[in-house]
Amino acid sequence: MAINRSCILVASALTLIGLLLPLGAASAAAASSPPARIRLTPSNARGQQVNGPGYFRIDARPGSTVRLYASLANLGGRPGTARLVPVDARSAVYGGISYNLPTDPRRRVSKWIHLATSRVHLAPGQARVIPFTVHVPATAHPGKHIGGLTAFVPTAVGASQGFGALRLQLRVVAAVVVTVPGRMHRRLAVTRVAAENQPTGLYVVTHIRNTGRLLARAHFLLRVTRVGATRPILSRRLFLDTMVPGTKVAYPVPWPAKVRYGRYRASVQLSYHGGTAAWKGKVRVSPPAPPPRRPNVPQSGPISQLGVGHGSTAPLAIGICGALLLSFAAFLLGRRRRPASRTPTE
Amino acid sequence: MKRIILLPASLAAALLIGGSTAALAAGGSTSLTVSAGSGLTISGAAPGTFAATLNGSDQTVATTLANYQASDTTGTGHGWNVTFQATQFACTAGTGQCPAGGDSLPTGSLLMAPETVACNSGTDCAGRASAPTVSIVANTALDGGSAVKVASAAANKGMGTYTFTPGQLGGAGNALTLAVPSYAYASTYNSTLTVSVVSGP
Repeated sequence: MAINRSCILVASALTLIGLLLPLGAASAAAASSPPARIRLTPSNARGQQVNGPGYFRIDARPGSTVRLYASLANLGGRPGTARLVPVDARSAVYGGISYNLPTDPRRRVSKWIHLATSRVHLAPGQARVIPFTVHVPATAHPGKHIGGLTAFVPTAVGASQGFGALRLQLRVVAAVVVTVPGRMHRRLAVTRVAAENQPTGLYVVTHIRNTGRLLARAHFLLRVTRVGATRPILSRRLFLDTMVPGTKVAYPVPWPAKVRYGRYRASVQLSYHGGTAAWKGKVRVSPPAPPPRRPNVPQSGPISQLGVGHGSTAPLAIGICGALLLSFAAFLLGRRRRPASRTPTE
Repeated sequence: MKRIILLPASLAAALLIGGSTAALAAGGSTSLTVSAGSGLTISGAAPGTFAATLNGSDQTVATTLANYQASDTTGTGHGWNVTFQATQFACTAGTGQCPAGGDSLPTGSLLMAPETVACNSGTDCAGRASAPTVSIVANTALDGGSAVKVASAAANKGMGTYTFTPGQLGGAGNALTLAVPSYAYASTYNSTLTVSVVSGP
């Protein structure tokens, strides 16, 4: 009987070691080697690099389907499981193309992309070829349609601490540019200029929309003058980087002078390849809006040492758990001793 | 005796399960081995944590952002760019004083200053290895809903390895600031900072 009990104990211990060993080895390797670095490039079916611009660029008619291949490689010293996600594109803050986050809703080109797989485990130095198709809907209009494929190894979510916790996620993006043939034009429009109070100060924000069917970039002259004055408080020539068709930009410029509430005149003269646009109008500078109404929750500092799970109920919960564990241990001990004392009387 | 015989079997089964999971994750795509070090990659950019003590007034707190490296070893000269984007800071109900339903800071609360770029040793820093251009000229909010293009290498530029040093903001050594409104809850507000290296138009 005693031998059997020992066997069970040894069996349990060895099984546990068997299960934990790979985890231990993986974490030791993770600590000593650089993180997985992912490379994403267009390729052919055999994983060889193809001629082209370094991203996916196709011409396709409405209703057609094109088959493509992406080579996904791990150039780092650590194995990792990479995620591959189609994303839409929009215009970045000062123009330039902003590729959506993997968690953003898929609405345009990203919905046209169908991947063979979206999770790929890669050893260091290993690459895999991921086939995918781009199906252009029958309703797609002529022009440039921009999306992308993004690849990344998700960053582990650690315990957040402090007031503001930033989790870093590195990723690579390869654009997917679909040109649907037909009549297409380049056109930008300035829709308005506004003075906007943001958390970091007052900004003059120029709202520009790409109403054409092609990518476009521009230069523009922004002028702001107080009503009744002749000398502008702001006169700047600015560069607007590439804008994606069908998207808009809210181009912020910090308010250039001491803020005086009131009315201002603003004007924009914008020029791009093949056209110009202009806007003139009044801008009102007002005090910031009052903060939102909040439920009555006490706010007490300092909060620099607050972390997840360190709310006011945490000590109570820890105390209850501890008491339960102690009671359970006492119960087990009691059960083990009782048979020994009873044996003579039985 | 039977139990003793079962030991190595259970150990082997545990190890086999670990191996087969990795194989299944491949998803049936073709596998091949690549030549080491060819590609467009990015590393670094680890951010610090913002500490704050609520005092009843709006305030600005700062933290660090580590240098980051972008490397183009594709040998194609197609050009590339780097973008930064942060999600809106939000706390989760039950964390500190964060209320039911959670809470978020206004968009446009997280600022970054223009960075500088230097060529790594071994990168010529001229001609096709010319350093990329820093694309922002003023302090810029990263959590406004779309990305900020912070640097770009034109076609036939940026072929090498480059180190970006974030500009100073909010005191020596810091590179990011966060606007903390007076009405923030005593909690931890979380955000994900996504740094992308992009091959595209």
